[in-house]
Amino acid sequence: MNIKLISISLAIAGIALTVAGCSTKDFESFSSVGSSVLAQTGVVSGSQADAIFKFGGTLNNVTEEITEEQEYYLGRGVAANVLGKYKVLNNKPILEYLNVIAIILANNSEKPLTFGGYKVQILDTEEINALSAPGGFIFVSKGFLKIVPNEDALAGLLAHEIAHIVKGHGMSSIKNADLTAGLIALGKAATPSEIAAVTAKLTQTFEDSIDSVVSSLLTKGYSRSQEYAADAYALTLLEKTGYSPVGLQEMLKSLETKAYDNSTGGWNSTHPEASDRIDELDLDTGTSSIGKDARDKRFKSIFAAL
Amino acid sequence: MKILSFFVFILAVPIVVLADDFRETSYLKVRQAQLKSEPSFLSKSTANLKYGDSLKILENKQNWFKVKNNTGITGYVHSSALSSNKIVFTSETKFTPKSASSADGIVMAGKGFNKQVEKKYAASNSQLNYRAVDQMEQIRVSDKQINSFVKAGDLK
Repeated sequence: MNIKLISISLAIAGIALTVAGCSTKDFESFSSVGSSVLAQTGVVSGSQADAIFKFGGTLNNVTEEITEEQEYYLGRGVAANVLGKYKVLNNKPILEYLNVIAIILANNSEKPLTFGGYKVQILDTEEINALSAPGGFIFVSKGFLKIVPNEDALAGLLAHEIAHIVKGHGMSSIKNADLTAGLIALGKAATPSEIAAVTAKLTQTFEDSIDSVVSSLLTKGYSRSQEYAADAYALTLLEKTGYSPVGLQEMLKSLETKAYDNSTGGWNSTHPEASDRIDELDLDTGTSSIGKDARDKRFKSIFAAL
Repeated sequence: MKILSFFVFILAVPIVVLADDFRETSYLKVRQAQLKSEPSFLSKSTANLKYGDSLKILENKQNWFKVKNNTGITGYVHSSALSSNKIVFTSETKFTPKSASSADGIVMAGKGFNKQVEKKYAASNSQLNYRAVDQMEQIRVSDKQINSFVKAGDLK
């Protein structure tokens, strides 16, 4: 083998190895130059150029300033409000049962993982109510559990609450403009005094945001279209998980026939009529579900303690 | 032919190394998750992951990504747990990097709504019950419980 060929091969190898030794940070530099050129030539705006400054040049959603972690803290705030208003029922078998069903349903959704995970808690009240907060916090009242006829219906109830979280209905009730502006301002603050000033304002925004969600959950309710959308999504979740979609209809029929509290707050002031929701369901009632008998049996056994 | 093979070999080594470096990196945006052996929550866990962990994406299978963590363990993570934004941790005693937002591809963990903001909120609202929220977050369900529940109820 001649010396000339070896030298050429080694030179090529050397160049390739140098490039290979570049970390992704160096690759980011290449992207940065590229995105700057795009911005300067007017192909993209400045903010789009910032977003393109990424590995591989995928354009991020530059308006998405609210992270999973921040949604989690908002959810905790909402949960703290709910749990400040209601005591918790201490029933470990039923609590475990609800949480297992919720996780199995969530695993089949578009958003199986939230920052802190999905958790279900039972509220010790005879009121008929179920709520879900951003981040995965779900609450079901003892009064509601008492009218659930079987496991598939229970899954329908939980699937509906998970749907509100997956579809971001709680977050949509927050005035996004104030929230986003506050978080962007905090992102830009650099000195301790700048951070302190923005943090004080952000704390007020935090409180206002939580109040918006709590108001939706406990007083005003979500919009009719959001409730119907949650029902529709719940049906797909039930089917994907192996539950009978008829379970949701059974849950709604149970709500329709049982008398419930007509005072301010509670189920009837925050949800459309159960009969309207049943009419909206696009349901094939002929669908059979494997394993229903086994599920009905375990439901009866666990709920005997309620 | 021998010379050609040698030439190809010399080029192949850096290309293999280069290919790995150019794989996209993603970051875990939830507090914890498990790497799964298959693209299914019912499969075995191969490793535990925590918030901010960087993961090299190897393959995309519908809503799951096959990834490799920084100790070389591979497995699947659901796309809902991943972000292309690098997650940077700061503490009060450390230098706080300037003006970072998701538009820069960086997320400042703990900046914005965090424990401190929550503490201030709780201090000014006596009707809140954060202790009960902390207890609610302690509720745990194991993979074993889920798998046996799914099997017994003919679920997926």
